[in-house]
Amino acid sequence: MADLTSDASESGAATASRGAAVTDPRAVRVRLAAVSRTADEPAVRIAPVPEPLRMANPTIGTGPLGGAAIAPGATPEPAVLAQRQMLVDGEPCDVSIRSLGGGRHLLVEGADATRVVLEPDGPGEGGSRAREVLVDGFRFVIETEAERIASLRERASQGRAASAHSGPLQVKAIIPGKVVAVSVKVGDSVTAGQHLLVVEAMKMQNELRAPRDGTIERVGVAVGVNIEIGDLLVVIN
Amino acid sequence: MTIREAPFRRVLIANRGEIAVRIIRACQEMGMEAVAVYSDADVEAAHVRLADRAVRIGPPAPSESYLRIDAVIEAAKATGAEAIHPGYGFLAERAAFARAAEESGIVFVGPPSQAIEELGDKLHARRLAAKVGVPSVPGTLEPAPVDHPDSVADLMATARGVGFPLLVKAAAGGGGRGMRRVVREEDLAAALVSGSREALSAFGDGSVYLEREILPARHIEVQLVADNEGHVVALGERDCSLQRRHQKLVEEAPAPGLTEDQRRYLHGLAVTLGKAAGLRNAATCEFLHDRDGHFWFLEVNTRLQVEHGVTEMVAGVDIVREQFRIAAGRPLSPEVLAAGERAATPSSHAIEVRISAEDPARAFAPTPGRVGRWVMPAGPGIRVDTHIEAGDRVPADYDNLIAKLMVHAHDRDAAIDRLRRALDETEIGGVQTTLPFHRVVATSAAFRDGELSTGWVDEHWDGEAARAEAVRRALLAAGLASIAAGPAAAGMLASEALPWDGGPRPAGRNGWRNGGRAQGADRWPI
Repeated sequence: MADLTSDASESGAATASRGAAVTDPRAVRVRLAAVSRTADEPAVRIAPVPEPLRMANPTIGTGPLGGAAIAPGATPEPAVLAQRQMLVDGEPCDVSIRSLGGGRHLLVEGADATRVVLEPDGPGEGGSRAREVLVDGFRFVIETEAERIASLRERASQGRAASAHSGPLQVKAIIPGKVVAVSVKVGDSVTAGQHLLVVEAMKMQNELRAPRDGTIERVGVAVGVNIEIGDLLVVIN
Repeated sequence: MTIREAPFRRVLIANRGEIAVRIIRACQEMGMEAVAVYSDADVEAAHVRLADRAVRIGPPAPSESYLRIDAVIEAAKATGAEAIHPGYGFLAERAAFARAAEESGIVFVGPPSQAIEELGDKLHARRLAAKVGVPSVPGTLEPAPVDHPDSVADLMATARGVGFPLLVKAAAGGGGRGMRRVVREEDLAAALVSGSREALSAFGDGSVYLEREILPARHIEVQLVADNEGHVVALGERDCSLQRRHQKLVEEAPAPGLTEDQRRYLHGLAVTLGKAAGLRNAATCEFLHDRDGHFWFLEVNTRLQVEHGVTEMVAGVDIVREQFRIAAGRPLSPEVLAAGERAATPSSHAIEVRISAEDPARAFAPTPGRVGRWVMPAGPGIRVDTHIEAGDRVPADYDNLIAKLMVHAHDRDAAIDRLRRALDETEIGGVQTTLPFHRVVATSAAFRDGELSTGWVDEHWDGEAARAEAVRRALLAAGLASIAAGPAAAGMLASEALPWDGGPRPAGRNGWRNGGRAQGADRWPI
């Protein structure tokens, strides 16, 4: 038995504002979409290194290091999709990507190349674009947003975030299944790790335990109920 | 040229998923009509598409469809099926099902109901092993008195004799269901109750017993086939040590590192048990192999195993085909007898990885859903048994195995190289699968060195670290691709981009794709 049925999320966790004074209009902010997050995993900012710096760098384009790292033995080609010099969370990185067709790409970091599948994107949360990305057998849904829009939105929503930060903890289902046992009721005080309920999914019984101390404010399910991903199971205050 | 006579005219396959597909393929190769059964969750499933006929047997819940003996027997009668192949799981090891088929005049492709009863019940099997001198894992031989709290004291004494940590196991069990690991005496009573509850829910039988936990241990099993004249042949052994929650992830044949003498001894134990139980058709004897070199009998599975394919590759026989021949009353085929002679001196190696809809970074939690991209490997030495195509749904109602990837090569090193290559070619989207774990296995020095044990996953798999690294790369790739595609791809106002650049955008310069439409600012989630 493992504790795998819940996705506990505090509302309104604001991302720290790290941006540079001037935002490159091509800069993007990428983060795991809610369906792929396991915790509050932060967004990453990626921007091309500003123009003057870029011009001074001899490794861009067909330089000896550049050509070799993109694809050993291959001629440098125009299919390079992004500059080799990027700022990733403000740090200069030697990364690039090139398309191999059919959604397959080669992500090149220094001398390392990783095969990545990028599926076509579609509308994501807010104004972002979301797409599925396959890497090393993992699949994630990743949202990309222009850094300018993201920072604007962030400024607009500050203030709200502060008041919502200590709100109740909603425990939601991360697997679909059937509730076979509920061992708490409204008003019970629980301690972190305490048994809350049992969900049967794919022939396994999965125990859900309290992610933190608190009082049960709401129980959203009952024995025998079928639940879907995202369904509210319990609220702990 | 002679046309070989098919063992049966029409066969019903009482299963779903990849194993139903595998059996239907055997039927078609042998010139037999295949009848599928399906639940409402499987109307468009592969086994229904591939079969010559298909009969609906009920709603999605297994207990209302694939586990309904009456519905399956009725479907067989209605379609005139002469035989039923149960596959694995569902009704495959229900003696009552085999008996119902027998009583309806339909041939059950498997051992007779009596042998299923004797060997399928783990407690019966343990007592049988004791009778014929095959060493079992130390533990109890009778069901634990879960319903009699007054006998807890007796049980505690027994448990101390077995030794902690121990395992509570379901007599009717399989796949780890109903199983509980107990480290401390005071946890035993609760483990008995919850194990028994899960066993009752999974198998309709809440009997549980105690067994010593042997760690570190390798899980090694012997494939048996037996005909109606009492010939029992071992086709070789498999190592299935890599497991999570007592469910297998990776299997290989032969078990690496065994000597020819060890193989002969182990195969001998299995054949002894098979003969004592009056085994017929196909079955598997499972053993634990401890560090001191002992083999401890664990249980017999009286059915086709998920991992039978690796034995087929190494032994060069088709086990399902043989099952049908035996069920029709024919003696063991010459190729099976020859493979039995060679079983202790294998000359090639096969590895299977189970690709399941599970997230290996979240404790292998199930991830049912709809499969998106689906690219399976091909080329020399590759076999993929699956029922999935791009766009298919993996229902939450059933087992989450979606494909078995098998590789075969002249030796183990070459097989591992081939596995790594095959996994590089494999692309699955839509649902998270066990692929990341298998990629780690295929590149693991410990695995290559044959360091195998049932604790391997805990010792060698750090799902969170593997995921974190993959997340980092995925974010980079998505971000770079978005920048390359132009501002609008990231939901940026196109008009914002031009003044900053003060010249032609990269899109014009390097042939990069121009972005599409601009996103409206009114869609920000404020």
